[in-house]
This record gives sequence, structure tokens and C-alpha cells, in this order.
Amino acid sequence: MNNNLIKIYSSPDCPYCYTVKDYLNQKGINFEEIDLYEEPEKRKEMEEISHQKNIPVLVINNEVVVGWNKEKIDELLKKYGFI
Amino acid sequence: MDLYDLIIIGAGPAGITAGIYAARKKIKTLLITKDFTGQVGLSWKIENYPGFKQISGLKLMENLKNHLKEYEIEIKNFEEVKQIVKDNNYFQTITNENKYLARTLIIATGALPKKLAIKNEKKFLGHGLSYCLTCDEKAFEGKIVAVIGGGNAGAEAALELQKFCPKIYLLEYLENLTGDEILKEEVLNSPSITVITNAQVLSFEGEKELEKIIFKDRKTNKEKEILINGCFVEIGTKSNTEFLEGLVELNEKKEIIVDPKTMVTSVKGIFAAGDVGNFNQKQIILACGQGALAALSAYQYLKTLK
Repeated sequence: MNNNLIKIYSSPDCPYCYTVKDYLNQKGINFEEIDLYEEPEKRKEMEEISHQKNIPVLVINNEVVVGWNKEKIDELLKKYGFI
Repeated sequence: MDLYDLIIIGAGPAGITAGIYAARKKIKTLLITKDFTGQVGLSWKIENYPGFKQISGLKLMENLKNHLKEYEIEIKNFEEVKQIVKDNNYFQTITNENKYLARTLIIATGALPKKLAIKNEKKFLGHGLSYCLTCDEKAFEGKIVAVIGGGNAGAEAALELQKFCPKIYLLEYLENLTGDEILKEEVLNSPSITVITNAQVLSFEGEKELEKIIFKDRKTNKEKEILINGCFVEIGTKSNTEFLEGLVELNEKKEIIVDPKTMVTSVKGIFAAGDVGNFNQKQIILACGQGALAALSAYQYLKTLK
């Protein structure tokens, strides 16, 4: 198991954030959640990392997935040994 | 291949209600779904679902999901049905991961928001343009925004954005707003919402970030523009029926043609419920009712097979 942290920038009412978290939970993968509602000051960091403004933003080993994109997430989880 | 009495495809209000009813009838059921949020999850607030004066779409979906999980029902989450093949008296259901066999099916795959498909749409996605209000509205705090689409979803979006934005344009293609009277009234009385009707949106413009929307005034045929920082699109939905082409009868909108008395489709043993069906009114409460009816009809149908 790769021990590097996975990060997700999310907000509580965002359905795609919910789906990404639900997917990682189903796979038993730990992640750090940054709730932009609770920590609005982190929005700038999210925009710099992803070069855009929409969420969810998932960061796996410095690679970014914007939105709920199962194929891309699977690809990166495999690439970095999470699955 | 695993054999089920019933496979339910989709886990919106219709699919989940069908699942609860099927489980209570002790039908051997599998529910296959891409996710548990769907179209309802995109809704900022729901105020017409009895028992909840006001609830977010995501919270309602979470409640429905938890209710379903109280029952003995097999669930395959994050699987997408790609094809259904009628195999004598069975339906072979092929997903991106597996194949399953069922005696009956309930299709409850719902609908998803339509995309605009206009110039520069992809360029500005994430740079001022969003299809998910509940995800991205906070990115536009204090900014001027537009909502495209003057139905219920568009009106609700504009009203919600009043909390964060000083000025909101609401653009509608038709001559009038089309949503519920109660919402129309609220929108038209709002000092921060400007309604523009007869607006055919042509393109998004800007350097790196979205700066303006070009549209045609359908009355005068003249091109006009509005200066904005952000835009949300709420122009209706499209039924998720692509995988059913050639199997069941669809109408011109690609909705499944359903007998409202039993929810049966043109194929015996296949039922449909919710926004995927050719129902004039698309409402969460109606989808739940249709899901319940589809499950009860599937139960009656299964009894004739044994």
C-alpha cells in the first residue's frame, strides 16, 4: 500500500465530491479532506494546484483530477499503488 | 453468471424506492448504479417533498440510500450498465465490470443535465463556467454571474446566488420563464436578478477567465452581450437511455414509453420508473411512486412465471 496522502478539496453540498469520497471509502483508501466551506482560505491553494476553479479537486501524488472521473481516478490509483 | 429475480438499474428516488419495495417482498434483487447522487444530488434545496419542509438534494439522497441499506438487497455501486440482451426468458445485463442475469428489470436510470454545446464552452469550464451550483457557487462570492435556463432549476439557482452575488442575470430562450409560479414571482421581485427572455446564447468569451456571454435576442435578431464573471447552466435534462436503444420503445425525446398503470415498457418483464420514462411531470415524489408501482408490478409478474 502506498502511504502517500491523497487530498480532496470539497464542499458539503457538492454531489460529485460526495461520489469521489464514497468511491475512495468503498476501496478503503485513506484521504485528507479540505472542506472549502470550513476553510475558505484554502480555495486559492486549490485554484493554484488545479489551474481552475471548480470542485471536487482530487490530488493523488501531485497529479490532479477535477470532477468525478472514475477512469482517471482509477488510472492514478493504480499508477501510484493505491489499488 | 448470477441469476436474480429482479435487477434495478439506477439509484435515484425511483430506483431506491423500487429497491425498498422489492426487498420487503423478499424478491432476490440486485441494484446496479453509477452513483448514489444523480440528478437530485445537484439540487440546492427541495421544498416539495412531503415530510421535509426544506432539504438539500444530497441530504435527501443520503437519507434514501441509508433507508435502502436497512434492507437485505445486493448493491453494485459505481457500475454502469452498458447493454441489455434478451436471452429467452432472461435479461442479460452487461456492465463495465460484469454480467448478471435477471427474470425482470426495472430501469430507473433517470436523466442528467444537458450541456449547452456552444462556442468556448470547454475553454471556460472551471474558468467561470460550471454545471454544478452546489459545488461551485462559493467561487463567485461578490461577483456578477449569469444563469442560463429559466425553468425551476434556473430560477432556484438565481435565487440561491442572491446570497453571494450582487447581480445575477437569468437568461431564458423562450418568451417567458417556465418554472413554478411561486419561483417566478420571487425571481421577478428580486432587485438583484435581471431576467432576459428570448435569449439564444451563442458563445462564451474572455481571455483566460470567462468575461462575457454573447446571445441573440430572438425578437430583434440582434446580437447582444452581458459582462459577467461566472455562469451556471440549467437548461433541462436528457434521459439516460442510450444503452436501451433497440431493446425497448423510446419516444422522440429518447424517454422510455411506459404504461402508467403498471410501469411496464414495450417489453414484457422490463419496467421503468422515474425521469427516464415518458411522463409529462418530472418530480421526486412522482419518481418514488413510480418506483414503488414498478416493484409491485414486477412482483406480480414474477408470480406468473413460477
